Amino acid sequence: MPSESARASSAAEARFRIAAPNALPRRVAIVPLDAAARALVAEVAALGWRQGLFVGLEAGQDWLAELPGRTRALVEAIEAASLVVLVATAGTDAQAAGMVAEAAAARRRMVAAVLIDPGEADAAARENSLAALRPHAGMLVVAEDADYLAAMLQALRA
Amino acid sequence: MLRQEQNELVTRSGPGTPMGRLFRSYWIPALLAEELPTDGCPPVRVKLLSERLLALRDSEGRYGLIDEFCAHRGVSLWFGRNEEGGLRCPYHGWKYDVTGQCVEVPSEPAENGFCARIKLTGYRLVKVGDILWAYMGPAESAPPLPEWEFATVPAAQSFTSKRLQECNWLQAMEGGIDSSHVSWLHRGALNSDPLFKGARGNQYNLGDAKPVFEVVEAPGGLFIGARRNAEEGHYYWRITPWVMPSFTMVPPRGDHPVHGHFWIPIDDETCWAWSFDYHPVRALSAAERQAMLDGHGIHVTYVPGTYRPAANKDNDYLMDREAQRLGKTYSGVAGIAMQDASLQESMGPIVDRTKENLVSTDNGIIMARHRLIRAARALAEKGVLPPGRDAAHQRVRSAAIILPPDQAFSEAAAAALTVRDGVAQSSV
Repeated sequence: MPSESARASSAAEARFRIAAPNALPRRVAIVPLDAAARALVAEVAALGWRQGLFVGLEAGQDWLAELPGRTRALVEAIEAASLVVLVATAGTDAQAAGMVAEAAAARRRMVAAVLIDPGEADAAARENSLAALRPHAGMLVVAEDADYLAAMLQALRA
Repeated sequence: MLRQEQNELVTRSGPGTPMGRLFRSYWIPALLAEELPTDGCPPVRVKLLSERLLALRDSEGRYGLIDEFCAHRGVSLWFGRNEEGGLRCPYHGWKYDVTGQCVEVPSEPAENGFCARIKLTGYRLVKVGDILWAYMGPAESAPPLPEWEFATVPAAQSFTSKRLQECNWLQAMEGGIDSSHVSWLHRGALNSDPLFKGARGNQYNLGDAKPVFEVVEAPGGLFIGARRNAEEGHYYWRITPWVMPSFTMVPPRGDHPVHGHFWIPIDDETCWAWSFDYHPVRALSAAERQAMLDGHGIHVTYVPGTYRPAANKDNDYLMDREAQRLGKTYSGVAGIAMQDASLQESMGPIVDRTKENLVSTDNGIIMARHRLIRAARALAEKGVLPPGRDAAHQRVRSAAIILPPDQAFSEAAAAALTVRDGVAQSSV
């Protein structure tokens, strides 16, 4: 007679695992922090996501007039999401990280950051980018290319 | 989560599969050297990457790993006689050398060339450190011999064990790069295990239950840093290297030996969990070695005569609900290794990753899967050999260090994360 653990962990028993969904959909807000990151995120966004909220911080034709709309879109995305992902490219100052993270913290949302580093930035500039992200991210990932961003969003069910 | 086809790709390692080809690009641990202790000793059955094999050490001390079954009638050569320069099948006397070449067929005249045409699959098997390493890939793309520091320090400085784990290799390995489970499943061990206790760094672990993580791609795999608060605004960093396809090192504690693992598929539903401890600059003490033999730290005790842990699924891992209730162990299972293995085996033979719900602290796992899938596809589709084969990729260390808040561990700890001959590990 096999033990309870031996029987329960068998391949045969796996057939009886409940097939119903075990979680409700959760949304992920993705916020690029610089121009190069915006371009990379746009490529990833084009892959099509059900739960990804892609937010743009870029200035438009009329920066001041568009500010309220951009701010509202960011706040709405943060409120709708359970996780906020900041995306920057190595060598940029990622200066908007603090502002976005502050908005996320006010709503008690987790913040992760992805620094895309193809290896072209010098060490000091790369470190500046990391220093801008590090205080705000509970998880900071340094990845060679934007493929990782897509892999991460898929893994997180975005 | 992974899609089902991705989960299949990354978990199946038999012949002809993309992940099987990936594993066959490396020297992988096959046996402990103690399993073939003398020239001409009995052969040992080995299943690796879903292939049934036989490990040999012939009368001249040559090692080899060959197809388990005689080419004549399919008899297991485990019953064979290890004679002068080869293994003879006891059924009809066919004899094979360590490469699998048939060297004698008694019923056939030597002059007719019959036996020269009989060749079992054979793989190279070499001894480095306490381990016999196998290379099961194409001869023309064999990598250099293993350069892992634990296997190349003097024997007195190193100890290696292996244990059977009854689940797919990937769910076992993912436990090794999942730093956030340590504060839960293994709490208590820091102050009690003889191979962990007493380190100053333990107090940072216990004092800050919400570490912040950084995952950085490295040429051979990843570095996964977990930072916790230390004194005067500084951070206590614990940095775990992962080298493709399945090597990890645990960050050190004080002057205790450093430990780590390989996870090697036996087949798709079982694996070997290899566990090593070593010290870069001194011999292990008698007490340390005895603690490892007694199953402390990351090692286990065994069912006698086997490498199956004494606590296993057939005895419910010796679950102790009273110890769980009292907080002596968090899960009720004793020992770090079996705390991990019991939960990983409970997931089933191959966990269904389409149903998991990962969170941002799982990025080490997400990145490792991403690297494995990318490398397996590049090898299968373009013949690109994967990272982790070069000596430079293997000469890594884990580290535990204290850094100012404005320093990235990948730069500030670069020397600490590299093997430096004659220099001790960086530890707190």
